[in-house]
Amino acid sequence: MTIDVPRTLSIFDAVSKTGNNVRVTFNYRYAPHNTKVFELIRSGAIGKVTSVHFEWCLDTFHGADYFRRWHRDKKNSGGLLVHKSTHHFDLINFWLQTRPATVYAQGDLKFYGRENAESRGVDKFYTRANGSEVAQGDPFALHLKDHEQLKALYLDAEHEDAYYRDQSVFGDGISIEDTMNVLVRYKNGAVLTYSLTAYAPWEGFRVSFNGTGGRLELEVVEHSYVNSGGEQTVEGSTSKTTLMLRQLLKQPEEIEIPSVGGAHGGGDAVLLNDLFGEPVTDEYMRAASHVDGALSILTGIAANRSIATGQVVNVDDVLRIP
Amino acid sequence: MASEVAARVRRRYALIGTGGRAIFFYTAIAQEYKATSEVVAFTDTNQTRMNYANQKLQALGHASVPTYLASEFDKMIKETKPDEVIVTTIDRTHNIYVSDGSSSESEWSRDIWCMTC
Repeated sequence: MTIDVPRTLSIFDAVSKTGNNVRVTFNYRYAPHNTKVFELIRSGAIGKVTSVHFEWCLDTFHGADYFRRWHRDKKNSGGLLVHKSTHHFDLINFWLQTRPATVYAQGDLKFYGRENAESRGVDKFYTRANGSEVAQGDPFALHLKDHEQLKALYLDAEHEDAYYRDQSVFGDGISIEDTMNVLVRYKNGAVLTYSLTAYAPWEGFRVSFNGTGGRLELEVVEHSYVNSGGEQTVEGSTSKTTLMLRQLLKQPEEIEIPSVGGAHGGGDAVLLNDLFGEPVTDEYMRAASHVDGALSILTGIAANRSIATGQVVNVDDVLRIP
Repeated sequence: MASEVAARVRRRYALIGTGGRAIFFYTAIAQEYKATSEVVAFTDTNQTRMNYANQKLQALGHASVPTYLASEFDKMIKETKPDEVIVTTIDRTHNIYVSDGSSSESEWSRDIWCMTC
């Protein structure tokens, strides 16, 4: 939704002054597997959720792309714990129907960036791929001329605003992390351990819920993508999903997920219907507002503060949302 | 009745930002939701990008729309009177359009969408 507290406040201000609505498009809520998790937790299938372990892998195709674009500057994106993890922290808020209380985080740039490449013996560098001989030999280089849409949107447009879409992921000037670990306690007492890695060999996530009645385990492998580089309906679509329900003292059960193709785990089409289609009552209450947006990014903003200070951060001290 | 459907006014959307994420929304408006929705304006810091977005819009069977630079946002609201504003700009600027989009003079309320996907 946005990247820091002052900007969040300006959004709340605008809403209260005008009475207009702000919709935040948390498309992952709508993916069938994520909606199924909500349904199972709500039904009490694993009792009261006590802890969650959530790891997200951005691979060297999609993940690397954040280090070529405007996102690589924390002033633009708030870093991946705000920009990307907003979806993941929102999923936790949505699944558990709670909000974050305290956050501790550590984050580093350990793979991308010039210094990390130098430490691995790389000694040839470039600033942006277009026109660079060095870039020809870099498997992480994005060659805009090879992608019709990227060329039209960015290469042919850069003379107007000097925005270079193809910056080197091993260049200087990157101020976001690529390795992040976060510990969150929620108002309902549940605790989350979360990691985000942006240079993984595969794209997707694993989330496990521990409850007083058992465990729920979800693994989703996604099709990777470069934004605007290809067919949008496959961006983040799932190639494999496994949902295991392990109730205490019972046989484990694999839960079938309704198969819906399409981008972002199949959530996009359902979201679009919520946004543009005839209004229908959603039993899962997935439509999100600026309040949901704020509660999600506050986890990331608090995590950024924890990374900077080394301290546990009380989310209400960052911004108290009524 | 067919005549009632024809007379129904389509919901009007202005898109702020015409990069990769915007394509997702205007494609949906131009295709699946064309009976009930229409794009009425593009706003961006980059004219070349807006021109490309209009090309794509036309290829999808939707009429091209007026384009406004970011500095002309208020003018866009006044001239095209969107019902809803879809913001897909870089994250640090979202709040600017949420605030400006909400407060521009208008006799009707307007929903703002903040894109995160």
